Amino acid sequence: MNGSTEIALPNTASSSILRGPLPLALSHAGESFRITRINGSRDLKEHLSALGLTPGVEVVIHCNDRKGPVIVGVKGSRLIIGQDAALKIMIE
Amino acid sequence: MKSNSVSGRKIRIALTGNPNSGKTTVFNAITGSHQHVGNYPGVTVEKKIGSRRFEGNNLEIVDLPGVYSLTPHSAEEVVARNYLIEEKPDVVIDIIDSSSLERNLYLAIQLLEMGVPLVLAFNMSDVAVSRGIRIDIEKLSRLLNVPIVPTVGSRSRGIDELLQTSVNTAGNTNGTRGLVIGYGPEIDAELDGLRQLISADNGAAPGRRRRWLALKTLEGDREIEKLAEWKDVFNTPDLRDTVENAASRLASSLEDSPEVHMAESRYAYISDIVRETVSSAVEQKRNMSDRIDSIVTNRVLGLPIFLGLMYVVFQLTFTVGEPLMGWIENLFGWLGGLIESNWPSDSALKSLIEDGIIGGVGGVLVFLPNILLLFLAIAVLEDSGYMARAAFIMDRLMHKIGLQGKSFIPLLIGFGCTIPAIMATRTLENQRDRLTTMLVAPLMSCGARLPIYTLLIPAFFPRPWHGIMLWTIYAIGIVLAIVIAKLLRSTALKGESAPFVMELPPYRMPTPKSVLLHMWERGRLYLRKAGTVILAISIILWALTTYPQKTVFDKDYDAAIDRIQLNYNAELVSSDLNEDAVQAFLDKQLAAVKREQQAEAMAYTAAGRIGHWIEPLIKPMGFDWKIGTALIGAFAAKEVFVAQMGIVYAIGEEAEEADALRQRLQASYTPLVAFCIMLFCLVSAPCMATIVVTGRESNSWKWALLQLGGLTMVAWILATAVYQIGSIL
Repeated sequence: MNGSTEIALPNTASSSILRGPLPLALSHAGESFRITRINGSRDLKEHLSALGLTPGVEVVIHCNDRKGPVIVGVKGSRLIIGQDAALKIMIE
Repeated sequence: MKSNSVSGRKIRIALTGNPNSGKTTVFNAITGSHQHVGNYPGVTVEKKIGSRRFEGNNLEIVDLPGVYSLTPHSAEEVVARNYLIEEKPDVVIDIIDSSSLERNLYLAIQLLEMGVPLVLAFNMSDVAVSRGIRIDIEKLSRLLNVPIVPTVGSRSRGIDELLQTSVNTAGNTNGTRGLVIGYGPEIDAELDGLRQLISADNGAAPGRRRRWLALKTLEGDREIEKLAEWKDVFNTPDLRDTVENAASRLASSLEDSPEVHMAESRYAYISDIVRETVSSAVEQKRNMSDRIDSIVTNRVLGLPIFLGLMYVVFQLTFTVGEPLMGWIENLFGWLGGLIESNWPSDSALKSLIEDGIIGGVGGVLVFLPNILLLFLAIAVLEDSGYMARAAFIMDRLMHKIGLQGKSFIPLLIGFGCTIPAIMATRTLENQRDRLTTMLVAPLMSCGARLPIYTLLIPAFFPRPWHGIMLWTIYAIGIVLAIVIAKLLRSTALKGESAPFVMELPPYRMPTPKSVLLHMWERGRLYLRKAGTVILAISIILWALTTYPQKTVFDKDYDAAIDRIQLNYNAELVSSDLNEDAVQAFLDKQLAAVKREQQAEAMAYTAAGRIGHWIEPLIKPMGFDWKIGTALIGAFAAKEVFVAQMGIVYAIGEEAEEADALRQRLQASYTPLVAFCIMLFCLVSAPCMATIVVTGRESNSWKWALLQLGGLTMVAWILATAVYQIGSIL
């Protein structure tokens, strides 16, 4: 036995183990998440905030085929969010 | 609530609310037919005003644009906000979609902060009830200190109660201190500082407004400063410095801009209130809306379903429209015949009315059923909520061209008439997206071009080809639009697309009333074009094609006609052919002579001369001067092309006999030329009315002219290429 220890890294490819922020675009349909932060321009953030998308808000993913816009449920109703914006909304 | 029952009061009411909240339906329920549309000065946002008498009061109702918020990110929001501040309506009604309460309350909260006399209309309350959402309206009303009236706009329920409450609330500004929400220590501190500074400086801003003003300033609202009322307030250097310092302090202590944090705080406030007053049945995971969506927005099925629906829509407009079109055609024919038989003398006025007006405008109105049917279908799709799904499905494809899902709806409308299509681009916030969509919208072959196709296709192509040819033309338009859009987005209009964020309303059963209303909103633009532009152009063209009149001809036509008559009489006596055959022969000869005479007369007129003049330009496309004159007319309005061709080939006779016209065209041109004509008409400059609208909506004549010049050039190149290559083959 030598003095070094091997650290086994968790398999981060599996999203169920992923704990860090994930962009909305990569989420799975049927799950709920909380928005952690929104990247991008001030305009985008303000635009989204008027619709209720701000850090701390809970969203339910209704539809996401990873190739186009995402349908989320937020504040009791649904929004279509294009892929560009979905890549900038970080959730966990 | 003070109730002022003095009769004869004039009360000004402003209607606000989210898009999709049913605001327009409520507006219509209140005002009925007593409404008209105008424009807010300086912007291309529509202003709808209506009136209504209620309990002896005269109500004036303004339907403000649908907005999600009052922060000035879009023209609509600025217009709505400015109206509320500058016009100071007596009472504001906020129409709220009860089934999407939290998001709709965001606007209400901002209105409460503004301190305007407010009434909330909880609209679509039937939908909310059916979804198991129960709202304790009394408690909510108490918590927010605002009257709330449940309504169902589509069934005109609750309207009277709404009006009564509004009348009672009107002008009631005492006691409304304005809602105060805590925005967190950092922002609240700055707010207090600013507010004191504002009140210290002058008394222009009444108490309840000071905090709100400070709020807006901190949000970074530049529009506020432009309002005349507060120019003085903002002109003090002290204030400016303080604002700047506050802004930089907040920028370093807050993670996001103040506006985002304020939004968070407002929504948190809403969340708290909603939790106390609203209870929803456990959301049935698989309710009807969801089930439909799982099929409709399915990755595999979505697009085919969408294409299928589009096909059905177009088939419907063509097949159902045809008998209706025929009916109108007959009506105008009858009208023409009536004039012909009751107006004995061949005067200029008669010709003007028959050929110019009835021929010109009639030609346009014939296509009204077609266009209205298309708009009807679109209205049904929009009201039911399907359009949002369509935008969702199309978004991915549109992205490849450089557009986004929202561009799709204006383009669809363009198949009816380009003018409402260009107006529909208002929903696109990004200027680049909007301009690109506006510039390619004319390529969605509009209803006006249909007469050209229905004239030429049966004349030059065999029956089984008719459908294919028509679809080909439409397809070419679409393909070209894609190419040009891509080109524009990678050159002149390069840049990021706006984030595609759109509300997905639950499916609703559209009501006949609202669908017809929406159809009419767009349809009347087409009619207005017909009644004004086309009428004027028809008259001008009639003049151009009649004058100057040739009285002395190169050939003696009268003598020729006499000779033919003599021959006929001789033939009748001497030959053993039956009378009908001789008659037919006679008719043919007479017709030929008459045509020659008309051609000569036509060449002499102003239109004819212009046509000759541009002939060298259009010859490479295989066109002659006659087509040239028709194209000139078509520039004014596409429908006029057919009327013009009719006039060129048969002045003085009934020009509604389309078949007769087709025969003559067939005699003069080849199918290739016909195809090139259609191609040219499809692509080239849209009608004048469209150019004008583009200029207005884009606020720049540069783009309108680019649309005009660019499309015409492309049309010319394309038609020339096709003709030249086609002639060789």
